[in-house]
Amino acid sequence: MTDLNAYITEQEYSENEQGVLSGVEIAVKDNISTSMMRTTCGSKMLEDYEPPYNATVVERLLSEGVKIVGKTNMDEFGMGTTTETSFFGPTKNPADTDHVPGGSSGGSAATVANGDVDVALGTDTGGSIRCPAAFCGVYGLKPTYGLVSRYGLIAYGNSLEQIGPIASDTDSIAEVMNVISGRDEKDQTTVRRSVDDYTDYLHPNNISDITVAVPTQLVDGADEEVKSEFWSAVEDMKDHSVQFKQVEMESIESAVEAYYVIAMTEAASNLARFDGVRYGYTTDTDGDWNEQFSDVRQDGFGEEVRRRIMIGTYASSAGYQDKYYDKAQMVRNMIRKEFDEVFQEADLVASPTMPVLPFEIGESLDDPIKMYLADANTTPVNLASLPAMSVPAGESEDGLPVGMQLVGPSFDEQTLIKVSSYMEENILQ
Amino acid sequence: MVEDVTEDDVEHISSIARVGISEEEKDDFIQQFRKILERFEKLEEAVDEDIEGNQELTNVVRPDEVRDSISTEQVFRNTEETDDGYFEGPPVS
Repeated sequence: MTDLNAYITEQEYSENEQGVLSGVEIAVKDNISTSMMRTTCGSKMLEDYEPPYNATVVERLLSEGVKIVGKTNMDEFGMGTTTETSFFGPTKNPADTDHVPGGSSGGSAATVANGDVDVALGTDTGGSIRCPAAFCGVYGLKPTYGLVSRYGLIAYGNSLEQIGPIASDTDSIAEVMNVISGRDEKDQTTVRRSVDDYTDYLHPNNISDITVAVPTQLVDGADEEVKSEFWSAVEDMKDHSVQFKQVEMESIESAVEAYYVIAMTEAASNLARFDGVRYGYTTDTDGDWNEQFSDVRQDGFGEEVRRRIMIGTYASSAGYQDKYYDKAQMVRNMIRKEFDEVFQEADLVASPTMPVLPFEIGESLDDPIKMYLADANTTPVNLASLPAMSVPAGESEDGLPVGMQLVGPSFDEQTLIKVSSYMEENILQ
Repeated sequence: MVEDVTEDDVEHISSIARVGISEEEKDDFIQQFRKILERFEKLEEAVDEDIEGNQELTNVVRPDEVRDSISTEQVFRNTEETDDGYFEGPPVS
């Protein structure tokens, strides 16, 4: 059995035999706080960190009877698209072990695809649930911003990210969403809104009432094999009476740049707390406050993390914020508005989840920009704070998984679950 | 202009971000900064007017109330550098 290196810590823990998820084995991404096992964020900076509290999602899942089996590997602090920036080494894709599983929740997707667990938790700031779900051939849902508590999620891009489930079937997605969703007083960005029973939307008889919009901007630039699998899944959906329409969404063309300016700025702020004083890696330098912090952070953080912190610092600094940060926020507003307009005429938006097939391990490390551009299809969704699911649409000739992304209006996870469940049972093999 | 990003700029950013970079890394970082910032320039073309957000925002700030928090033992769980109930840090200057 190949070791995929999907886990940073393998440790079993449960609190309760009863509950709606009694007996369900779950792997938890290692940026989600678990007080009973270390939480590293894939970083040397937190290699031995033991949180003094559980994330709210962990509390909720434990009280419903899950068994946690371990903490999964991830790009360092969530910064990456391949799980290769992890301090603990890359994770292999079970579909083809020379290829990456995607990122940053690569460990979670790989362990699910490998059949080791029923379900895993991932997090998604710019695509980090959907990308690995697509690359590993499984289902992954990024909830609407504000639906799932971020209390205990070690922050990277706090206006962009959500915790969500990754699983081999839609039923598990719906069951986990029932437990983790909903208002949390410890996270004031969660909405005061009653949460549906998502399992009511499983196993529908038909989806003929659904209209899907496909934005040209999210398909044209994709690899030929990705496009081919995507359009093939679209044809299958048409055979099941789903209506399709082509749309233009011009603002999406700047989504990657807007995302990275905002995410890097937020990262610079969110990672400022790592200074070696209260927790984490520390050094014995004989320096003052600034020298010490600089040394701790130079040693404790990998290259990609340091790059993003520095660019984020620059883009939001005096003299530059008008040019970069403010403009990015305006593009963000434009993208939100365009999605609102499209959802007047369609129930869902669909696209390939990723514009490329899974990279070979090592292939994308020399060129950060190539990696960033791979996020072109997923980042618009985080900017617009919308829910989106990746479903396994097909495979390339060489057996590499291809995902289809379905995007819904705010708080319409129900339609995503309905369509995903129907496709799972009637269309996708 | 993006081409003006110099070694001095990178050293300045490194200093205000409190993130060190080695001499060996500097050249690569400068090149990458330039390329990445060049892509960010694209945002200026994308926006031709000030676009306001259209979301309804709710103020969720509450009055400050004293409540129980985590224990001191839990607070100091991840470091040995403590002194009489305080975290011990490096000298300020």
